[in-house]
Amino acid sequence: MTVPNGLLPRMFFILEQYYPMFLEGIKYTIIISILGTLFGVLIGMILVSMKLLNRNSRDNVTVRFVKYLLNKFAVIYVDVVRGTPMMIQAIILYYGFLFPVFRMGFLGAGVFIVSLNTAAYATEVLRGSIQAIDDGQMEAARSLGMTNYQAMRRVILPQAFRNSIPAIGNELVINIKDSSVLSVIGVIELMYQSRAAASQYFLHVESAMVAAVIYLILTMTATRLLERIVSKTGGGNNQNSVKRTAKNKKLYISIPTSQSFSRGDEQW
Amino acid sequence: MVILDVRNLYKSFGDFEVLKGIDITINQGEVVCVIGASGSGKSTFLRCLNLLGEPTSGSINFEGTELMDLNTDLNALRRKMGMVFQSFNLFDNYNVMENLTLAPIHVLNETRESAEQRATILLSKVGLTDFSSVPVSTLSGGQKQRIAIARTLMMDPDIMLFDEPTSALDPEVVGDVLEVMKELASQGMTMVVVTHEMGFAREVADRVVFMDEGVIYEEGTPEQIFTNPSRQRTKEFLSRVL
Repeated sequence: MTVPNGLLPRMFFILEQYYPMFLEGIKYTIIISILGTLFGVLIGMILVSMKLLNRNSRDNVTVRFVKYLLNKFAVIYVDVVRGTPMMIQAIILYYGFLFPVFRMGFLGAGVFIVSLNTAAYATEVLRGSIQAIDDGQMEAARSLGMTNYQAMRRVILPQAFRNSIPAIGNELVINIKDSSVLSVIGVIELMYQSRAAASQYFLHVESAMVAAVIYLILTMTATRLLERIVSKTGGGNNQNSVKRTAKNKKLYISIPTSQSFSRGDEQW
Repeated sequence: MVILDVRNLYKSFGDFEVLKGIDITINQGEVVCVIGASGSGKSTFLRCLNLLGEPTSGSINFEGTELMDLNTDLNALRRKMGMVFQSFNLFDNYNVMENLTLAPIHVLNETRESAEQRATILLSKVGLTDFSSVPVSTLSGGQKQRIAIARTLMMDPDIMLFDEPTSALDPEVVGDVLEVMKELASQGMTMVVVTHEMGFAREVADRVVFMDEGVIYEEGTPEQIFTNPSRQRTKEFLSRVL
């Protein structure tokens, strides 16, 4: 097999030779990022409720202590996970626990690691959305005799969750790209496959370019799909979905664009 | 009959003492208007009555139950103490009907049908019959406040606390809300109203309480307070607002 000259011909050459591997990589990347985001948000919901536990003077000592511990756990979890690279988390979790203890396969391990990582970011996204809800909503609910739990469940969380849909969509887009670090533990996602494809003919640049184009297509597609979902559900805004003018509609589509892909500003 | 008895109520925010020993007794069916300058502690006092703001010390006895007792079930008592806020605080994620029926369904375990039936009647009483399926974000301030009053009435409270209910409203709709409140007063509802509407206080109140620097500085009938205040600060305040 002769390797052609020029960047583009070589990229097509790589694709032609290895497209089944790339397809499999794409499949893994999509599964891991979608499931990872989903579970991450679910874990984030648990963590944020731990983080926002209100310690009031009517609790007895034991309850207060348990609340304190849960709160501290959530705070430390978020700090540690957000403060360390996912690649290192992947290595520690996989070689330290998942493989030796659970014999967990690559796909499961990938989803597990991305979920735990996303949970930390989702916690902060949700916390921001919850705290952005006007205090009066909680006060009104409590003044009607609702418990703290009822008020959260019926009034605060539905509003907060709707407001955080754009940011959670952003997490999905980030996960599509960042799941590439899982290649270090041998998860056969897109990045892993592209490196495997590069090795035989030593076409590292071309193979990476192919992967980059595929990542771009995946993230752009996800972004467009999310825009649609957000404009349909009215996410990112407090209003009920009735009587929305076309002019207002523009405002809802403030979800991830290629500029907002980077992490670290969950409150955009 | 005494419905609410407050003794020696103190409240501080950090080192800043806002309420410095409030004593007041409110009788069944009485309308008490609380007036005073901004920062005098009126709203803080009102929010302490249903413990939305937690007093530092003192005693609040509501229908024979001590609210400051740590074993008291506050949620059960709050059902009987309605509160209307300056900024309405309607639930933004629900429409008008859902705002009215949410607490009855989930707190009182009332059926949806029965709650909606009562809500429909209350909506017509506050003059908003056709609004049941409207999202609250599309309502005007005056409409929102009337819905908020109806939402509170759904719980069939024994006393209603109003925290400057007309202060966030456009002047031309203040009257609509005051009209609803007058109607309530005439039906014998016990009301504590923090207000800047001196006309309303004079016309509707059984008793007017003037608060200054965290204490009840002077109280009396509207007649006494508005036409013949006995103390210096009350005179100064009234001369500024009337």
